[in-house]
Amino acid sequence: MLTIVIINGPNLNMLGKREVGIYGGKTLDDINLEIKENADALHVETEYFQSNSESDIVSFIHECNGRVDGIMINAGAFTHYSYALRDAIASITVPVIEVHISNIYKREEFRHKSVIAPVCIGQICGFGARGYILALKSLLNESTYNLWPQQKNKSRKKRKFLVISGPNFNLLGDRNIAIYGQGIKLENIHEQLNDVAGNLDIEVEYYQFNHEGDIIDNLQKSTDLYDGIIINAGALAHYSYSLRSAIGTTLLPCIEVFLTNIHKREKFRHQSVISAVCLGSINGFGAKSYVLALDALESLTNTKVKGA
Amino acid sequence: MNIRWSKIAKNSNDILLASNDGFDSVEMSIDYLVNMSEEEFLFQKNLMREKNIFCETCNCLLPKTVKVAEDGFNIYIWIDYLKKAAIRASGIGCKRFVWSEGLARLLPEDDDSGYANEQVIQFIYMTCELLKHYKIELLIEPLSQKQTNYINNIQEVKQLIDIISKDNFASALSINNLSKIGFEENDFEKFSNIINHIYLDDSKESLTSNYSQIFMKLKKVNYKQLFSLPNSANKKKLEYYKEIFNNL
Repeated sequence: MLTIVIINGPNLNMLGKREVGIYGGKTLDDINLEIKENADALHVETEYFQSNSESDIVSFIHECNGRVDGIMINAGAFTHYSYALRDAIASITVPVIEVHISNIYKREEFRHKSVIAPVCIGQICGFGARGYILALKSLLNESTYNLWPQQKNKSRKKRKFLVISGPNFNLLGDRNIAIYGQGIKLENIHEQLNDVAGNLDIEVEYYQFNHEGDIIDNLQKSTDLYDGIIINAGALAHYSYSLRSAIGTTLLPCIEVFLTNIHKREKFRHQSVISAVCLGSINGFGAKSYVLALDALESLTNTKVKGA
Repeated sequence: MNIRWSKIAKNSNDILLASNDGFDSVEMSIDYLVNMSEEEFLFQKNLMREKNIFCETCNCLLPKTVKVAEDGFNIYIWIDYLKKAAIRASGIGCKRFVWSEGLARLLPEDDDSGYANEQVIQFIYMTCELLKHYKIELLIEPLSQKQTNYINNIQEVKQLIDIISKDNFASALSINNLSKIGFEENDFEKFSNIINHIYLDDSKESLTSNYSQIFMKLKKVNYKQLFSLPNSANKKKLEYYKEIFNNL
């Protein structure tokens, strides 16, 4: 059985009381309970650690090395300046996922930079408690997709999601293989999404465009056709304000994904101009970034949930 | 559908009182509904069933300190919150959520980019999209400029309805606020198709004659929705309003 550790940093013990518009009304105990329920269903063991002290977190990370199978960390404000934390993460061999409850790219500028991002596998932000569950799933392998049971929703037509990949993704598998991987083609990602969509009783439509205008045309037509959007805008994410406006005007829930950990790459890739109009961002998990985004959108728009 | 009479309820005792006083339904806050434990919710649900009363309306769309237009407002979290609310609300007969809080939609003064405005519109759109699956309408109430700087009159509500383009998005009105939002006499007729909920409250000022006139206009436009009375309203007050309305 896998053991995953959930670390929460400073002030996260105050969840439910502070800035609820941004963090929501759930307490840390509520969130931990939600993670635990999901982890149990996925046959994963979890441990929880919260501290307001940087040194305590650093020591705990050291202590996890070799003992656990994965760590998800919401380092709170330490994210933005704690090089000690960064070094602690870099010093261990356990995979670490960075999680944020809020979409840090919608907030003050100092929060846009994460000093721990380059030493983490990837980053998930903007999905509240769901972000931890996505992180948990990101640490599992593909065969566990069928462990994501969802109720079939007979009361309405199938939800349909639009998946757009931007310029150069038609070359996936052939270009920059050190970064994007070899052999994984966009078609493979689409097949993977199809499998998950079938399991979740939803539909997914895929497009890849090299032209910014084509993406915008497609987004403009999307509002009445889809229930949500997943977009991997590639390089356009870093400068296209036209794309940003087009996403904003759809009014649909949109999630930004990147195959790679953009914070490990060239500086111009660290900023995304479309993040602020997206619910959240997922980067660094390869094809799984798309799958996690689909999971987040499915969960948000699933109107037939447990307890209904 | 005929006119229904509702009152604001804050607890199970209010539900009992409303039922005994002859109200058709109660109006509860979303916050109250969401924060109840499963056991408490089932108790209230059973109580309503037993007393043959339901909760046609839920108010206070978001908790008091939440501002949709603020930087970092987490749409994912709050749509999820409203989903929980909608699941429970639809189980007790709810047909409408009312957004009457000014602070929650206050736009920052320096919203030059219009980004905050976009965020509010997206939130409304996504809320309507969610609620339609539970057959619940979202109603926004125009408020005075003292209360908020966003949606200050019925014309702005209409414009917003056109932007959102959702069948389950309409307006609520407070009779006490009409002059503050510049609501004119012929607006009842002009906007009758979007006014789906009316708050009555004469606890602060005597408006008996005004109510006769207002009810007259509402009858003229064939208003057949809901009148909601404050928490303090009792049987006597309900009969008082009903008498004015029915005798016109």
